[in-house]
Amino acid sequence: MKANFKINGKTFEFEFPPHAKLLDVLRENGFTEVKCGCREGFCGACSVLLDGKLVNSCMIYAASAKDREITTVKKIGTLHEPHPIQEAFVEAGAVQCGYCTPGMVLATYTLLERNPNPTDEEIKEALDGNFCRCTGYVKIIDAVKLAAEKVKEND
Amino acid sequence: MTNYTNYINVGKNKEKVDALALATGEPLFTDDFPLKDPLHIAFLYSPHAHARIKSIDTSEAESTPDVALVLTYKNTPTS
Repeated sequence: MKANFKINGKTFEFEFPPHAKLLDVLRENGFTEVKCGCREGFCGACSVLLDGKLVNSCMIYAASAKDREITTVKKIGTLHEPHPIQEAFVEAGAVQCGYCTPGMVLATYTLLERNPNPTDEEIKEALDGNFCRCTGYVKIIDAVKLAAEKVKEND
Repeated sequence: MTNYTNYINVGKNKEKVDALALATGEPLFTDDFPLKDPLHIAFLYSPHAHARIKSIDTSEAESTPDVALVLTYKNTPTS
């Protein structure tokens, strides 16, 4: 089947089998910033925003994302124009292998959008669908707190 | 307190060189490299626990269309 997707502001038409997951369709078409971790909806590496809502793209049929708006971490910020959240992850030392980081950044983005001043507990709750197997979570929580400050400064 | 001021790295936080690239999803991990027409592999395990393998008949698997190769102990190097 064929369908249109609006990814990071641009419209694409992709062909895929009806049972294909959004994760695989994105990765096969070059959006490898969407990482594949567990394929079971636990790890959050494949997080994207679907119409602004944080989802695990491995748990979504590509067909059900037809004509909808998908945001990956590359829309949040780029190497040359990083988002304050991405800078905060770097400064806090919250990036080790970096495989979970795109998902972490997106989870942080949606958290700060609805709650600009999260407590530690609220940060843990917002990021509990994103697993990190390198750094542990202390520096990631530090990064989210730093990101909250940076985002407020930028506003 | 030890005075670290004479050192370039010791006692100082250093920014990880590729951290920002990773945080923006740029680098390719092994799984991210596109492969053209890759072969797929499937494992067949014994249905019996702790059994002796007396023979393996791979003829049906080998005659299945699109099967490139069937690997058993017979055609794999042992050392």
